Amino acid sequence: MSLTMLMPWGLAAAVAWPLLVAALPGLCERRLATLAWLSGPLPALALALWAPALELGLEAWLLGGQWLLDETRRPLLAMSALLWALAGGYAWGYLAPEDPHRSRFARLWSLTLAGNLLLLLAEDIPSFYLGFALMTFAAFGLVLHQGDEGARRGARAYLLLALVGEGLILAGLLWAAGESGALTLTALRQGLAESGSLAMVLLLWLGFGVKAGVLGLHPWLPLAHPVAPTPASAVLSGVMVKAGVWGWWQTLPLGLVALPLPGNLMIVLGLLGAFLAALYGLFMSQAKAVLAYSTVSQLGMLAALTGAALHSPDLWPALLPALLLFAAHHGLNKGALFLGVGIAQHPPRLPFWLVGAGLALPAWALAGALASGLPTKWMIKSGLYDGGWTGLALALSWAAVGTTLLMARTLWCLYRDWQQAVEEEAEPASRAMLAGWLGSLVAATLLPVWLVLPEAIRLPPWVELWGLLWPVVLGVILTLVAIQQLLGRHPAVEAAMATWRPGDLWWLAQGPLRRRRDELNRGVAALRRYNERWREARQYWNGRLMRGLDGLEGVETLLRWLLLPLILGMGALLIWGLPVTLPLG
Amino acid sequence: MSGTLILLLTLATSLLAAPVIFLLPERARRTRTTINLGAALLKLALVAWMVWGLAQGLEYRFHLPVMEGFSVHLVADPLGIMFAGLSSLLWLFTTLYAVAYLEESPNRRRFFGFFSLCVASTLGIALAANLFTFLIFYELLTLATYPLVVHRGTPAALAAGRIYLRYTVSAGFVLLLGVVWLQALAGELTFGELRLSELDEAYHPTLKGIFLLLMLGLGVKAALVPLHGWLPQAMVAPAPVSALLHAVAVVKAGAFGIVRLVYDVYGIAFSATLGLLGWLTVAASFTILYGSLRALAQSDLKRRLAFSTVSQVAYIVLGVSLFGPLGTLAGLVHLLHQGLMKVTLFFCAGNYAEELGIHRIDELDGVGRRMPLTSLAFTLGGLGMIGLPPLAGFISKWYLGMGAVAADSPWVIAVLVASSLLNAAYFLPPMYRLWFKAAADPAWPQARRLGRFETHAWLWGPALATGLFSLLAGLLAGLPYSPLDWAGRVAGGEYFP
Repeated sequence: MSLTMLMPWGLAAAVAWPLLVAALPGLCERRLATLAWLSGPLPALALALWAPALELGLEAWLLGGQWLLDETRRPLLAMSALLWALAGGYAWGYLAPEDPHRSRFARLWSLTLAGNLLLLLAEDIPSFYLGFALMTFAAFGLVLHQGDEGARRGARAYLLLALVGEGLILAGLLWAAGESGALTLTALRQGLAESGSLAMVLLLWLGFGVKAGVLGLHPWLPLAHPVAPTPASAVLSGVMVKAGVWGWWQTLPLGLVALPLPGNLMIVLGLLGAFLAALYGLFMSQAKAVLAYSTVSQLGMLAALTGAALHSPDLWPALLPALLLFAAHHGLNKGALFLGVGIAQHPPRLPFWLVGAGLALPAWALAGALASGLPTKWMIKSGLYDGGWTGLALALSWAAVGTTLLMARTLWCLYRDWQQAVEEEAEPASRAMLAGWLGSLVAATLLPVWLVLPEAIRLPPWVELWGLLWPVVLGVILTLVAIQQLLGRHPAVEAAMATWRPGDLWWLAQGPLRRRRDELNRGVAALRRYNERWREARQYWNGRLMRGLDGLEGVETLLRWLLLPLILGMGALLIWGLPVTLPLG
Repeated sequence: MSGTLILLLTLATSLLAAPVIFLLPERARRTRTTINLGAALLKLALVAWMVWGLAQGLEYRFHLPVMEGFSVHLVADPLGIMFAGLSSLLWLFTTLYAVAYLEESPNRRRFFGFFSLCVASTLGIALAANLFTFLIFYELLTLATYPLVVHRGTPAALAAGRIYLRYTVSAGFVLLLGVVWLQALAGELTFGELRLSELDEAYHPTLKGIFLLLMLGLGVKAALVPLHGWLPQAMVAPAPVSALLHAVAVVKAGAFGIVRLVYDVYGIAFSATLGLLGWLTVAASFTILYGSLRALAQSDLKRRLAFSTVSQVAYIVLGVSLFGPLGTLAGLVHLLHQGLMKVTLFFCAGNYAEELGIHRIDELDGVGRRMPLTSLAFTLGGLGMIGLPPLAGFISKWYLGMGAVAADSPWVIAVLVASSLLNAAYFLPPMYRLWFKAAADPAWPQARRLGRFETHAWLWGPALATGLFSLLAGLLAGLPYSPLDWAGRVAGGEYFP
């Protein structure tokens, strides 16, 4: 067999390797096993960077497996595998050797990774759903890792909403696939385009929207991110939430048919999410909570752009490369920011300006002022302008002001973490953590250089720079004004801010839900009482019946007394009646 | 070897094993175990041979007229052999399990004797070619199961046995009534050869009435709400018996009977013409949701599993009631998948009870570290019940959804999703306790050490094996001779003969 025939099996190997690693004995004790664990995402990364387009058919697998590596999958696969690898290295240094749940974390990490890779490569629907479900459920254990009250709450919120999402996705996939008889995602999209069913599109949008943090379904993000171990937060925010967006791109009939109503809904809810999350996030006082809200805000932008493509399919060809770049850009920069939180809390023995610059670099990029931020913004903006969507472009620019403010807030929180760590003389970050963080910085900064998109990455011309940069400038000015006006002058405001908790709607829902639960309990108790009463009534009537039946004894005695006259009477009647009624003689 | 001989031999393996076991003295443990396992392996081999033979186009038939219009008639058709295959495969594992489970307990002679009889009747049900033969074995199953349900002899067991008899015997009577009535109308009731649709239209109301009677008779064993009352009571029986009741024999016999009734007695097209299928869909959907809701409220592990059976077996009926090859395929494949998954779960529940004395769900904290293999099997079974890929339950659910859309009732998808969420709500908490909670102190009610590893190898072995089967049945569903493949052949035969 020649090498080219073996190449497609690389896809299977890329998914199977982390699964295999998850089952290794002595995962955290033996050196070789640890090295294998660290290498989990590397086969996938190698494929994404160097392999040609591949296609693998697996007849025996589920309902017939079909896995692909094509030009849309490649950039996301590369970004995901790279961030998983860097965060994995970071996690190796992050988890203390005496942590009792270390090996559980390591195994679940590999399972989550395998699910994530599979959902990116899968073209057949069952494999895709398998990858999605595997990632979702394995990540539950990552969120729960710390095991304290906050972690349990975060994990509960995560799982509850994830289950809702799984249910909606299952309903949408079954219905749409049943209607069109599709087994692959491409056929599913085409089937949806033909039927144009609003209900199916809504089910899929909201189902994947749980992962993609659609406003209203997002509270798990700010609850889960601050409590998960830092490397887990990095992949959760950088890669896993993209699975939801990827789900939209793979199942919704984008570029095939115009669906104005769901498109508009997506745009409105996306923009609302982008603005409200940015506003709420400003009041958070933990870096990871601010970053989580920034993720919700960025996902809102992605949702709005996807909605625009659903509204007018002509946009899709120009937007797809830009959106892929956006997803990769946000993934790596957000990953680098999350990994930076651990660095700020455990300051390494490096000059302050160096580490500070490293922490700030991805923040600037995410705000859109540097590195990958500029080409991303430019490609999206030019795509929108070509399609005549200037209003949306303007709205997104204003949302970018919010991003800038959130980034400033993050840096402020990181600075305070740093100060506190220096005061408490916290242990410096291990070399593995530093390596993972620095790696993510380099990868994020050089993203436009190495990422392979379906279309060449375009840098903005000089004349357009102001149009791209004004939100950042405005954000910086607002920040400076805020620092000058607020800092140290209004202790009441700062105290009030300290009481705001991440999770917004979750807490709002808590009161009513608890009341509902009490009502339900009361209802159950009432039902039980009712059952009790019913049983008593039954026993009572049963007794009555039995007594009644016993009473028949008396009737029988009476009958016995009555029998003789009865028979005699009947006889007499017969004798008298027969000649009367029968035509005798 | 002639086809008839193989057919009779398959039935005879366990039918003959029963009297031999009854005659053996109680202490002859080794001989009894050898006979048990030998019979189970032989039966499995014979069924496998018939599967191969059927694929080659051979015929296996046995016909013995008893009197005018009645005959004992056995045949190995694809549908029957599917059920026979499931039963004999799971019987092997259940026997292995029961040998270890009942070690050191009294009355094992009685137990294994009736155990064999039970499986013999199940095989008879699977291979019956007419309603008369079916009925004989169906009633034999009722009687053979009773001693197993009351095996422990405790007041609770005896009470459960009484309830079991009350339900099944009255159901048997109703079934008999229906069969006699139908025979009076249509003559000899050979499966697949009835022409009820050719009867005069004036008979249609009568036929509907008979269908209802037969459904009532079969629905008791299949535990359709509101005829399910005996099943949760019967969970006081020992774990292997529960496995037998829920996955191998009794409940399955009811579900299988419904499949026969719809496809081979009335015919799916004629059932649809009579307008019976819609009602069946509604009844099955109601049972699915009701069973799941009741399961949610149970704190006893085996009771929760029992209500889960009520819900899951209704999936089979749901699939049958959805007109079209996809629905049929889903119902049939779930007949196999539910067996594999549920037997796993009951094995695990039995292991927890035997090794650690655990009966309630809140006692499961931290058991995952103590009994990792059993807990792994439990997780596989539970995730399969929820219907997550790549486990067997996902395949069933997928085709149920496809079948629902094809039968123009997409609302069934909402039932499926609600049931999945409910399944998650009652299977995920025990799993969370197993893997993520620390063991309480004192850890478990009655911890023992039954084996060198986490427990007796014959206890965790079957559990893990069936757990892996339910994983592979989903993961490699595309392979030839997988449950999906075989169910596809049967469904294809029903629609495109």
